[in-house]
Amino acid sequence: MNSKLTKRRKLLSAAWIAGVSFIILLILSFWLGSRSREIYTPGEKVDGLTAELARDLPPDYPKISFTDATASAGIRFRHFRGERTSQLPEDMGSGAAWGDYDNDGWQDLFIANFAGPISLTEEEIRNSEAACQLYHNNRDGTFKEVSKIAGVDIRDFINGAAWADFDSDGWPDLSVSCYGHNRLYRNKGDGTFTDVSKTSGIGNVPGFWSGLAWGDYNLDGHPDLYICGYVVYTRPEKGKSSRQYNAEVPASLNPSSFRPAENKLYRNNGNGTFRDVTEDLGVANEEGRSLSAVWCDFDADGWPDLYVANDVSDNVFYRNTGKGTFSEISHSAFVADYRGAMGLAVGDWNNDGDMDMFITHWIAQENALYDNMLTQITRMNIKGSHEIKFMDYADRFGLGQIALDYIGFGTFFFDYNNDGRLDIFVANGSTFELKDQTKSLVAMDDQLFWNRNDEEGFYNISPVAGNYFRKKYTGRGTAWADYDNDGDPDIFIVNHDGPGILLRNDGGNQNNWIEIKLLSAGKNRFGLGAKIKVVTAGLTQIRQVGTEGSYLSQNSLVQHFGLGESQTADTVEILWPDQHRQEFYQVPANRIMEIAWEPS
Amino acid sequence: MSQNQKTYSKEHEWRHWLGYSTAGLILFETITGLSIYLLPFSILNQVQVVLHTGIGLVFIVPVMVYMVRHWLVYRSITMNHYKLTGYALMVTMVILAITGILLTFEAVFGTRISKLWDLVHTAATFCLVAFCIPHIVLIIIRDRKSGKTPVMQAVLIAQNSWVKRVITISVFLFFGAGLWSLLYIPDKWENEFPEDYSYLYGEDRPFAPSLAKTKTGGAFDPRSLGNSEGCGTAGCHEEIYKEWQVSAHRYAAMDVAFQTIQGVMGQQNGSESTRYCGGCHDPISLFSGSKNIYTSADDLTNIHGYQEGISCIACHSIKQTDVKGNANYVIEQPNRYMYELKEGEAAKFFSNFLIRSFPEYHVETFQHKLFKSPEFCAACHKQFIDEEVNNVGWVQLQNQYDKWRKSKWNHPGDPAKTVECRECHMPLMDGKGEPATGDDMDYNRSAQDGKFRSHRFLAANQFIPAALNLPGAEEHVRLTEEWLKGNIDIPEIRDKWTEGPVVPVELIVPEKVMPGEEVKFSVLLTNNKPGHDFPTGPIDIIQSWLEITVTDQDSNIVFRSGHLDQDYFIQPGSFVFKVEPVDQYGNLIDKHNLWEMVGVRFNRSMFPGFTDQAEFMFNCPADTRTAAKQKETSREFKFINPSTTVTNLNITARLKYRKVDQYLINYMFGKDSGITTRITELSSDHKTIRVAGIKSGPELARHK
Repeated sequence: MNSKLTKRRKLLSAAWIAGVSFIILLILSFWLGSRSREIYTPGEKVDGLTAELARDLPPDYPKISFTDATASAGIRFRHFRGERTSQLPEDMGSGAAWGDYDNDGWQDLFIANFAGPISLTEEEIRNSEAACQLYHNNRDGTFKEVSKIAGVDIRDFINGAAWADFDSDGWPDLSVSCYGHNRLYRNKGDGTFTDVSKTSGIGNVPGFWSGLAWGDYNLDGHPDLYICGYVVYTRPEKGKSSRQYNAEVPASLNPSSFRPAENKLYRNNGNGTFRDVTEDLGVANEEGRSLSAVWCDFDADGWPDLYVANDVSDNVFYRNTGKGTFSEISHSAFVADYRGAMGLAVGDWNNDGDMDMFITHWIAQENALYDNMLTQITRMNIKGSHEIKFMDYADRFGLGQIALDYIGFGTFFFDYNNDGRLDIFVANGSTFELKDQTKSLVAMDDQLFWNRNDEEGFYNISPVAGNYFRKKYTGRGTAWADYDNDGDPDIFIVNHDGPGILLRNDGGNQNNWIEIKLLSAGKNRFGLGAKIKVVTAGLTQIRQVGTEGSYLSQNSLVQHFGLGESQTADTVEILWPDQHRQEFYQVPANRIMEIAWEPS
Repeated sequence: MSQNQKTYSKEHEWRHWLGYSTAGLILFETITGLSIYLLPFSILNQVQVVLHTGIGLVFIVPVMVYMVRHWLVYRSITMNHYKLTGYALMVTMVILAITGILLTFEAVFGTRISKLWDLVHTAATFCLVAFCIPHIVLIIIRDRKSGKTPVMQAVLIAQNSWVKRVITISVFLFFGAGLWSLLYIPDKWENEFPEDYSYLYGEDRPFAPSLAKTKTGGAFDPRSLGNSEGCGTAGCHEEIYKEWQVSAHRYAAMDVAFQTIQGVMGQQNGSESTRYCGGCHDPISLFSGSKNIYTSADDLTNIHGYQEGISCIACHSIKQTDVKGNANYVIEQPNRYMYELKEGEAAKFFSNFLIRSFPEYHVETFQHKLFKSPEFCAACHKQFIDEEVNNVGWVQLQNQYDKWRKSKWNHPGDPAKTVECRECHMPLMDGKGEPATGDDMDYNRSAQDGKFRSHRFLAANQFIPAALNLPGAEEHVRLTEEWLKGNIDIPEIRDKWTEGPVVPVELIVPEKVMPGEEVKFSVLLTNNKPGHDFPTGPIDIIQSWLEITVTDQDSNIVFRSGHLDQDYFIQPGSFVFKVEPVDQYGNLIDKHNLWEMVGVRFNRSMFPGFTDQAEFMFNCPADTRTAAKQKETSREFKFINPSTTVTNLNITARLKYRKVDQYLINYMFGKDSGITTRITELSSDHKTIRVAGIKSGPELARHK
C-alpha cells in the first residue's frame, strides 16, 4: 500500500513538475519571442536600404602609397596663429604654389599663411609667427626655408599664391592674394624678390581676395592676372554677436550674409604695370562669391577662356571671343553650377581630346565632373557650330555621392600612377566649428580618386594609399609637383590652423613617364597656355600649361604624362600660344624634356 | 470504485457522443490554432481562422457540458496523474474558451485583437497539447496493459472506435476548410500596361525617367495601390486616415500646381517625361501606365492617382529605397486578405474580421523598420534632374535628406541626440481605439505606449489644403501655421530639440542716430528648428521674406521693405529667401519648369543651425513732414504737427512665408482671378532707435 502510495505520489509529483515546467518554459519562450525585434538605432543600415552608387575598390587597384615626407624634407609650416574669432576671412585660407624660382630645374615651394585672427593690430600682424614661407629645393628630397633671405616672409592675411613671369625676364615672379591688399613680388633672379604691388597696380584695391589665375587672355605674350573676390566682409559690431539661439554657424561665418565681391582682371601692360580691365571686359562677376578661377582654352579656338568657381552662387564661364571681349555663356554651356563651389581642377579625364572640369563643393552637395562635349559636338560636324557644352557626370563616374560627406577645397587632376589616365586628389576640410571647442574647425580626411577607365570612372583609393589618408585635417589649398624629379607627382597640402603636409609619391614611377618643361625665348617665357599632346599606343593625352587650377594654389608648370608600359612616346606635340607647332617622335620615356622655342 | 464509476462504465464513457465529438472538435481547433500561429499567410489559413473562430464559439457549450459531466464521473477517484492532467486540461479549456470569446469579440467589434489575449490563447493551446496527450495516451496505454478481460476488451474496442470517430470529425472539418479554400476565387488585379504603352527609355525601364520600380518590373493595377479609405473606415485607422486625407502626401497628385506643371511638361517634352514626377507625386498613375504617349494633360493622372496621391498602400508597400533619391525605390503589390476587395457588407465584415483576428500578415506587409529610417523618406525628399529629362545633364534640386544627414540633428548611433524625420513630421498622438498604437522598434517608444505616429506630415503648405477644400483643411492650415511659427510642442523630443520660433529674427540697430544720418541696421535670422534648409522644397516658387517697417514716433513711414503691392508681388529689392533658376538662355524659370534649369541667378536659404544676416539702410528724417511722405495706415482723427521733429524711429521686422509666389498663382488661375496665397508670419522683432541731438517735439494732439 505504502509502495503504491509512494508510486502515485511520484507520478503526481512528476506530473506537477512537468506541467509547471512546461508552463514556465512556454511563458519564457513567448516572452523571449516577443522581445526578438531589435530596436531601431539612428544610422542603422536597415533591411531594404541600398546605395547603388557606392562602389568597392576592384582588386587591380594600383599598389602605390603616399608617404608623409614633411619632416624629412625639412618643411616646418603651420598655418594660422592664435584663436579664431569666428569671422569668415579667418577660415578660408590658405594655399601653396610650386614653382622653380631659381630655374635650377627643381620645383620650389611657396606656402601662403594667414597671420591670425583678423582682430590683430598691424603690429601684431607684423610680429605674427604665421608667416608665408618659401622653400628652396635642395635637389636631394629636402628643402631649405629661404623666405627671409628672399624677402617673401610675408606676414599678413594671405590666402592664395601663384607664380608667373609677368615681366618676361625668365624668372618666375610671385603673386599672393590677401584679405586686404594683394601683392606682387618681382623675382630679381638672385634669389630675392622686390615688392612691386603698388607700382604694378596689383595691390591697390583692398578686398577679400582669394583665387589667382595667370593667363595670357589677349595672346600678347604678357601674362595677365585674374583675381577672385569673395565677399564684401563687414565685421560684426563690437560686443554684438552674429549668433542667436545657439546657432551652429553665426552670420559672420555665413558667406550668404555678405554681398559678393567683384573680381579683377589685370591686363599686363608689358612694362611692369597692369591695367584694371575688369569693367571694360565685363568679367567682374558681381554676383559671384568667387574662390577659384582658371584660364583654359575649353573651346579649342586658341583663345584662353575663363571659368570662375563661386561659393553659394552660379559659377561663371567667360568665353574669350578672340576679339578682345568675353561672352558670358555659363548657362548655355551648362556649367552655371550653383552649388557652393570651392576648388577647381581642369584636365582631360577621359582622354577624349578636350578639357574637362572637376569642381569641389560644400557639404551635402555632390562634387561635379563636367565633361566637355567639344569632341562629341565636333564629331557631329555641325557646320558653323561653335557650341561648347559640358555635362556633369560625377554621379555616374563615382565622384558625386561620395562627396556628400565632405567639404572639398583644393583639388587637381594628376596621373599619380602613370597609367596615362588623370586621377584626382581632393583636400577636404570643414567650415563648421567644433561643437565644444568653437576656436577650431572640424577636420576631415582627404581623398584620392583613381581613374580606372572611361566606362567606370573613379574609385576612392584613399584607404589603401597611405597612412596620411587616415588622418584628419582642415584641408584648404593643395598643389602637386614632382619635387624629387623621380617621375611621379607629389602633393603638398595646406591645412587650416594646422600643418602643411608634403606627401611623397612612392611607387608611382613603376610605370613609364615623361615630363615636359616649356621655355620660350620671347615673351611668356614658360609657355602659359601652350598645349601639349602626347601620343602613345592607343592613348592621346593633352595638357594646357598653367590651366590646372586648384584652390588658392598653383600646381607645377612642368607637365607630367604617364606612359603606362610604353617605353617611348610616339609623338610629343607642342602648340605654342602663337600657334607655332613643334613635334617630336619616338621620345624615350622616363625623362624631363625641356622644349625651347624662340619666336622670330 | 465509486458509485459514479459503477453507473458509468469506462466503455460507455469512450462511446459517449459528447466524448468523441468534443475531442474531434478540440483536435480540429488545436490543429487550426497551431496552423494559424505557425504557417504563413494563405487562403487556407484565413479559412482556418474563420472556422477556428466559428466552430470554437459554437461548440463551447457542448465542450463545457462534456467537461462537467466528465468531472462528475471521475471527481471521486483518488488523485493521480491522470486526474491531475485532467484538471489541468479543464483549466486550459476554460482559459481557451474565455480568451477565444474575448478575441472574437475584439475582432468583431474592436479594431484589433489584444496581443495579451492572443498570447494567452496561443500559450493555452500549447498547454492543451501538453496535457491532453499524456492524459489520453497514458490512459490508453494503461488500459492496454491491464490484461485482456472481457470488460477491458470492450473498453479497448471502444477506445479504437473513439479514435476513429475523433479523426473522422476532424477530417470532415478539414475537408470543409479545404473545399472553401478551393472554391474561393480571389479578385485578380489587372496588372497590364495599356496596349500602346510607350517604352521610350527601354523595355526594362517602363517607368523611366523615374527611378521608381515595381518588384515585378511590370504594371500595377491602380486599385491595388488605392483604397486608402478602406484603411480608415470600419473603426480601424480612422484617425490616421483623417490626418492623411488633408496631408501633402494625399494631395501630391491633385495639387493644382502639380497638375498644371505636369501638363506643361507633358505637352513640352512628351507625356512619357512626366513619369519623372510620378514616382513621388503620382505613383498610382505611374505604375498603372497612365503616363503614356499621346495622353492628354488631363489624363496623365488617373482617378485613383488623383484622389489618393501617395496612398496608404503606395507608401507602405515600398520594400527598398536607395539613398540616391529621385524616387529610387522598389514597390511590391501586397497580397490582400480574403474578401477585402469584394463588394458588400458581408465581404467587408469578413475581411475586417480576418485583418483584426489575424493581424500578423497585415503588420508584416505594411510595417517595416525601413519606415523609421530617414533614408526611406530620402527616396522622395532628395531630387535631381538628369540628362534623360533635361538634356543638359545632372542638376541638383531639393535635398532635405543630405542636408539633415550632415546637420547637427544627426548623430548616428545616438538616439538621445538625433532627431529624425518622423520625430518632427510624424509626432506621437494619443491613440485611443487606433490599432496602430505602440511600437517596440522605435527608440523613444514602447509596444504599449498607446500612441501612433501622426500621418498629417505637418510641414509648410498652408495653401493647397484650403485651395482644394480638403476635409479638415481649416484645422490643418491652423496647425501648419502654428508649426511654421514653432508653436507645436513635441513632448517626446522636447529634451533634444530646440525651443523658440522656427526661424527667429533679431534686429541689430544702433541705439541712437542723428537727423539726416544714414541709418544702417541688420536683421539676424537663424535656422533654429528645421532639420533641413530653410526654406526647403521647391524654393523656386516658395518665398520667405523680411517685411521691414520703420516709422517715426507718429507712425509716419520712414522706410519700408518687403511689403506687397496691390497685385501681391513683393516690393523689389526686398530680402527674400528663394532661388531663381534660369534656363540655358539665361531666362528665369518661373513656372517650376525645372526640366529646363541649368543654373540659378539667385539662391538664398539657410542650412540647419546657420544664421544669416540681412542689411538695410535709410536716411533718418529730420522731421515728421519728411517722414510722412508715406503713411502706413491713416488713423482717424489724428492731427500731426507738420514740422514735428523726429524723436524716435520704430523698426519692426517680420519674417513672412508663402508657399507659392504670385507669378505662378497668376499663371495657374489667371491674373484677374484675385487669388493669392496665404501668408504666415513666422517671427518678428521690434526695436526703437532714439534720434539724438534734437529735443522731443511737441505732444501730438489726438482725438477720438
